[in-house]
Amino acid sequence: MYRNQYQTLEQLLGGVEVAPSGKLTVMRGDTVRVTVGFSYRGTALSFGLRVAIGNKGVTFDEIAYATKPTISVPASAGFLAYTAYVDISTAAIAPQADLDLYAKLTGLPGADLLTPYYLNVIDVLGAPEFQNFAITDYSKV
Amino acid sequence: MAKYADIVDIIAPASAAQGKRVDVTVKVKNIDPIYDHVVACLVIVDGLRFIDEVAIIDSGETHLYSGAFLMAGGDVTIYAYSYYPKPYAVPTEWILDDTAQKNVALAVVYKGTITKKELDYEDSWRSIPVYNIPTGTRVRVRITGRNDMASNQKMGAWWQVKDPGGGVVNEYSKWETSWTGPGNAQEFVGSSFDLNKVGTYTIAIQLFMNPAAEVVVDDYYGTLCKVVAAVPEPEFSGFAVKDYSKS
Repeated sequence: MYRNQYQTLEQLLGGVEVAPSGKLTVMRGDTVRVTVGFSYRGTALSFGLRVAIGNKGVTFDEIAYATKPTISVPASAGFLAYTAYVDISTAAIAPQADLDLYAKLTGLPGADLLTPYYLNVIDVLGAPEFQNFAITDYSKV
Repeated sequence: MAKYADIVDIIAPASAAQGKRVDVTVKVKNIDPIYDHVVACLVIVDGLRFIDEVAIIDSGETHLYSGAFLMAGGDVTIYAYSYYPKPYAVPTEWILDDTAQKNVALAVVYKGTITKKELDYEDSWRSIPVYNIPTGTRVRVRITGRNDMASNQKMGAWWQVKDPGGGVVNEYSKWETSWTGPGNAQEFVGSSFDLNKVGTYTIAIQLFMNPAAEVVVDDYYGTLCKVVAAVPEPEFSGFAVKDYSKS
């Protein structure tokens, strides 16, 4: 429990990468960098990457997303490993816990290729906010 | 039977091609066991005297009379004659002593050309060498030969294809069933075979005429094709989110 709290503080400061299915907590307005990995073999190919944060129900309700329009890979007879990332702004996400995440490759010769859905992996906290700021009393001390 | 100058042999080829030089040597032996003799030798072909020489031949010895002519456009016969003089001291007459002859046949010079060397790749015939063929491709060879003779000829072809390791992967040897006319071409198509190795495949080709005593009229050795590793259909694996962080 203590360790989890410590991780969360680090995450709030930024720069700590969380691997699925760990939880990342961010403040609303922060940017989340999502890195994907895949291996590919075949003819030279160009395609797109789309990563979304949202809620997985029957379908995936995307609240925020980011795309990388073009990823180009060279022809290869054997599998070669690649990574790519996108940065997703959370400005449009109302503070809430347990958001879900997934990514897909688009523009392929066939259907889009989806990652698994990663459930309950992102919490978005509200922006720092003050309320009822006022002098409550004053006295001689 | 000669009295003194016996024509022992006419040395000449049995055949020669038109226009080629034909060297002839006539061997004449003085068969007189006691005396030397002056002996003249005359050699004629098609009315042309190309050897006309006088020599003193010792008793029992053999002299060689040599000359040459150019082969005509048909078979020829070489006629050789030996003479001795009479009287010996002051010759006033040459006495014919011996005769001999030899036939020289006109040799046929077969002429043909390999005009096309092709590979059946992706359902079309392409001139060799062909490059960047993916491994696993099935191909065929087609060789075209032209009859450069003025007469009908039966042509044949042989070839051998070797893979980058030197192994024979395709071999062909066949005579056409009929004839090919002057200036016409004949195709020879081999069986299909697979290109399973990366690298350079080579081919050796020979074009033949005259099945009775086959003559190579043209040949070729060189690269048939270059094979590269096949690129498979697009395929992904392990697509997943690796990590996410606040940036």
